[in-house]
Amino acid sequence: MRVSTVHMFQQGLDAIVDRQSKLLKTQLQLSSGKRVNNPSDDPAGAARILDLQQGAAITRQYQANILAGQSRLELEDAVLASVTNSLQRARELAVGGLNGTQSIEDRTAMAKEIRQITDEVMALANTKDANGDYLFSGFQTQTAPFSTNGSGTYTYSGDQGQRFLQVGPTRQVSVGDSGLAVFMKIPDGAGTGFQDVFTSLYNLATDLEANTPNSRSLTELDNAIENILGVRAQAGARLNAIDREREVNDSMLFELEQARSAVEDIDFAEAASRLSRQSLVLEAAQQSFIRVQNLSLFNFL
Amino acid sequence: MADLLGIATSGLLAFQRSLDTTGHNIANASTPGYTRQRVELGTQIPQLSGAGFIGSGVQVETVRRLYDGFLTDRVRSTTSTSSSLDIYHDFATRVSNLLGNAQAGLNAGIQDFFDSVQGVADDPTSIPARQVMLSEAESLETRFQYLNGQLDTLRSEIDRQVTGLTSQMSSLAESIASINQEIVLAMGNAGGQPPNDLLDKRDQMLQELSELVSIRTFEQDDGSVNVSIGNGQALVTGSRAATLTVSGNEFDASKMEIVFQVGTSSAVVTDSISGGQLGGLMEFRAGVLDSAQNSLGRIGIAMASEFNAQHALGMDLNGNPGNAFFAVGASQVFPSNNNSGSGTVSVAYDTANFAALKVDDYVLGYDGSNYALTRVSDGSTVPMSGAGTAANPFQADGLSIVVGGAPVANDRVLIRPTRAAANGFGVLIGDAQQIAAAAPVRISEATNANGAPTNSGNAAVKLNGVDSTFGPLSAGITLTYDAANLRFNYTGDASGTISYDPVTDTGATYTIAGVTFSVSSTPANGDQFVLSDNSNGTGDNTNALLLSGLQTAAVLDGGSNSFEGAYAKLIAETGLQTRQAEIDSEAQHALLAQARESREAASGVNLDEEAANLLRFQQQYQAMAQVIRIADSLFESLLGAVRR
Repeated sequence: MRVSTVHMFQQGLDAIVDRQSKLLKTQLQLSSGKRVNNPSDDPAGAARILDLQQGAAITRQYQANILAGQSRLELEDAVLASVTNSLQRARELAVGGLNGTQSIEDRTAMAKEIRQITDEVMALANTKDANGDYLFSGFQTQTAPFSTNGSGTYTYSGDQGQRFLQVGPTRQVSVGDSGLAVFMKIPDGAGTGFQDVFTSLYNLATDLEANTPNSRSLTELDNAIENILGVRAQAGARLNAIDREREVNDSMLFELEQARSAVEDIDFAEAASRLSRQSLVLEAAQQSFIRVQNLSLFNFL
Repeated sequence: MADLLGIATSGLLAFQRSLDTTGHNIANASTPGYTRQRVELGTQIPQLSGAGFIGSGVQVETVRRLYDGFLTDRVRSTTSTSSSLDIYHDFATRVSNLLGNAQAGLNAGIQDFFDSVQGVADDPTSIPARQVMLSEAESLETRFQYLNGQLDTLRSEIDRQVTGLTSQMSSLAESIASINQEIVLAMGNAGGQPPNDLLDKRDQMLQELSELVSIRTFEQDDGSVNVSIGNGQALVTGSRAATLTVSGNEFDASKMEIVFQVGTSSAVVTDSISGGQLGGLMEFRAGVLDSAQNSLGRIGIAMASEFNAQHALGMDLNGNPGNAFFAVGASQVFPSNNNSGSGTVSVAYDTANFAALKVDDYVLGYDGSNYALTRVSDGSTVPMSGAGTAANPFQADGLSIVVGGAPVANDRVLIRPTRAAANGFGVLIGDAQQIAAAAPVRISEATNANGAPTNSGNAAVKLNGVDSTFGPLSAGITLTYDAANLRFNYTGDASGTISYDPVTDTGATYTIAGVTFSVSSTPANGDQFVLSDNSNGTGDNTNALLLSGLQTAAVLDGGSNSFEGAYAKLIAETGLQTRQAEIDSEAQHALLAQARESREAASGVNLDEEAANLLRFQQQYQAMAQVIRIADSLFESLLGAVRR
């Protein structure tokens, strides 16, 4: 077939340009480490990458939620541990007070300590978190939950709201307990209703001061300690649960990352060998272009 | 010998012409559109003698253009397709790279925003967390506006290009018409000999025209060529040319339409234009740009509306119901400038049915008694329910359409439900206190004046949320368990009963006065639960959790896609269109190269061939000169004989 000189030149040039653009694409893939640099490189893959990235980002947010939840639950546990210690001490004093050998002076001294403990527990029940929010007032975090009139009447001003956090795609975990559940809803000594822990402590102190210790106080303190232990056990169970959730999320993240990498990232070995192959081909195209362009009958005229 | 001299002279002349033409070929070897020429030689009329016919030399019959109309046509048509695909691919790449950009794309913005909502859920009283949410909302707004603005820029770039292309086409048509005239004249003057270089020049113009638009050519006997575009609109007829201009769309003056104009009559030909850069641009505008911008707008509408709806069900830090959080973009309605009636059309989104909202545009037409809705993309009719009144609007594809006024038959309006909506997306709340993270209601077991619990059973109730029928509670609602009848009686802001059997119903969900809650375990007779206003409930994150749940809620595309899902789908679609255009354009390049190769094989100049021809014609010229010498020496011999 006849070949026109211009066409020969153009075709040689086109071949070089074409090779160059392929080489550049491989070079871009190698330098970015990504197989899909633009959606058109792999449209279905690009959408899948977005899905996987979204999945990973949401999971990372769950992890952040878990951290927030953990610190709240740990704070609650630490406060309640102190409360438990105080109540244990109050219980020891109550047991001692019931001992018939105690003098009224001893009992008055004990009552004094119990008043001290009552204040301590009250302060603990009115603990604020790092943001200045009350820990045990339910949703009304700006309202001090517990107050007293000083003569044995204790009032809870919070509500029963319990904050939940999203720790997994379908999992919400409560990260706190209301003051009602912790300090108020404690079976009374008679077993007929509820009595808050402060009233129990107040009554204990009053009885000791009057030198008429009542064994009912012991039952009430036992109930209070048991209730708080129960709350702590629940909080601990929640901590365990979100810890497990965290592990699940971690492995989820790993898998999402693997899946994303499989779609998006480049196989370096393959791309590197492709690059050297393509540069070889480009060199061949360039060299042959020069060789062919130098051929002309006019050189011999 | 006189004959021999004549023969030699004819040869000298003929080979001089041949050498000239070869030189011309060499000189024009790289002139675009040049067709190689060849001197066609023939014998001169022989002389009759007693011994028969004696040859009298060579003559130039014609200078022929080695031209194949079929091959040239093929180059032109593949050029049209190729340049159409190239420009389409060029623009589609820009859209798909824009939307797919990891930094500027929408997906990261949506993700960051919902992360910040979860941040508020983690810590609803924290003002910094709320500020972060507001600033993420603002950057989401910026992203919507940026993407939409970029698409708008592409749109006006297309308008500019179309304006330029049409005037370029008009002036090419003009030039072709005038060169037609020259060719007809030249052919007449030359007694039918072809004006080769003029023909090349015209072919080159046709080639340039075919880069702009797909054309059809019809050669006439007088040497002129007629050119038509689109559905047979005659762009060039002999020495007359039509003009192409742009003008505003009958509905939307800012949308450029292509107008074909001959004399005083004109017609809009946008839809029939195909091929070439113009065709590629039109195809891109209708096929990629419109639907991409509509999709983006739709995500904005759905997200803003859904978020607002849930936000309104919450309570902010000041104890007020949530205000509208986002500004929602609006539908555009354009009456045709051909309308003669005074009908009015208003279009709203059917907020209960975002799943049905499409990315299409529509034309609502009135035939004198009925309205009909037509989808612009494929011309299909969309069935509407309802009567078009405010009380009972037309419903179709997630839209509520209310008509009024006095339209007359054949009046039409264009409805673009989502095109400009991304631009209308905005943040309305500026005060972090106004983020409604809490539920407006709380639910508690009964307590006495000191806040001590009074229930004796172990039943618990948990709030799930409120719906749009909820109104603020004043007295609250008290539920009292009636163990004998296994039910709760409730009184207060609302009254009635709900049955609850602890054995079978534990965990069951109930809704009273728009408040949804679940009941579990066993209440004692007379146990009470209270639904009350969540005053001071600043630490409540119930609504923030529900808001963050919208991230993964599948509200679009028939309930199959979340906001990000719809965006991923948009990216996949434009990516696919770009990829397809890339593949098609590569294939078309190969076809074009083939067509050019065939044309060049027939018509292109090969310098080696011309060099060989130079040698050949030079030799023949020299041989002819030798013949003259021989004739001269013959003559000399004869003279010598006579002189003696």
